Amino acid sequence: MLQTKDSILDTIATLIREVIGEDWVDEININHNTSFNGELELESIEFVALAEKLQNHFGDDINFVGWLSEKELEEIIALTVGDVAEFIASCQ
Amino acid sequence: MSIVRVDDLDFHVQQAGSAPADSAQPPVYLLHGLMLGNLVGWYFTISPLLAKERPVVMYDLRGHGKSQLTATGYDLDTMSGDLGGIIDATRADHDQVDLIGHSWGGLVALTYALRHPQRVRRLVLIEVPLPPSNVGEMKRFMELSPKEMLEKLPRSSQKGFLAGGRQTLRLMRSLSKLIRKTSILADFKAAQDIPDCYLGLLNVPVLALYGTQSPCRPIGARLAAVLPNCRHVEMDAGHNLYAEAPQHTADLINHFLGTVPVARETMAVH
Repeated sequence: MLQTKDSILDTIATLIREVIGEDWVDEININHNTSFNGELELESIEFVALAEKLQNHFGDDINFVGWLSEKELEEIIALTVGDVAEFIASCQ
Repeated sequence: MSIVRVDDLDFHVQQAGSAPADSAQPPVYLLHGLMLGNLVGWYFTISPLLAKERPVVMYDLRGHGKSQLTATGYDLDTMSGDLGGIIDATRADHDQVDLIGHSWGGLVALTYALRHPQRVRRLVLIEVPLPPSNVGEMKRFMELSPKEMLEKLPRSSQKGFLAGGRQTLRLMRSLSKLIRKTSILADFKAAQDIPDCYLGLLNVPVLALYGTQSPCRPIGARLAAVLPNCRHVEMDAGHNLYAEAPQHTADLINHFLGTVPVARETMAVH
């Protein structure tokens, strides 16, 4: 089933909260502009857990790891939740 | 997250590419280096490139990443036993597997291959220090504080360790725990050289990758001279060469590992 960008974003936000699993992240409004490295300060090993959850949820057509591995360090540092939502929407 | 239990210890394992059970190609196991290493170093660098051709299995060494921390057992004997347990739990029907190890992870893979040569089809050693604790710069690195260790990281390998408050804090916390609560430094210092006469018996094809800007560089020449079946390649990079040049590293490794011809009876009929 195709998901709208907003529902993809909601799903990603839920998965991010699961991965971080700390109280403070419940207080954060996760939107398109939320930065993984900025507001969320996601650890690299948490990215691995997020990648796994995205794959499980959206299916094997989503090659999140392959997409991420082609990016330069600067691009990864600047990555936002909206970037990931757009990538997933583009795979559907 | 997939957890594999070996001798009552929980190991964090990630797989990429097709599952070993569904593949004619043997799985390849990736072993990271000590202290700052964990499977993330592979996950976003060469793993996706290797996984296009073969099943990839990565795990966090004991005390690292999301694997369980133990007070002791950071010696090569124990850690190669861990590897054996991981292989047996994940290899499916493959009697032989391929191994890739970086730095200390390479020593673990080499130790396993010397003990179980019949189990290892191909071995890739990336920047393996030998004697283990005798490379001056490595030894000095191991004596640094966690904060100093982080500052020493080359920018290219920081792709896995994005700098930031929470990230740095968490990484420092796990490093401090490893240094203060475990035998890791003592085990590192106590590790003995593997004598040439012993290395000379290893009848497994080896690819030795070394960086021209790394203090480990001379060890590549030693391995090439002593191992009976060794391809030695130097790359224009430092100790973390696979993170600096993932595509080049993966090309060299994929070429060395090759593809195993699929037996007629196991080929799918369409």
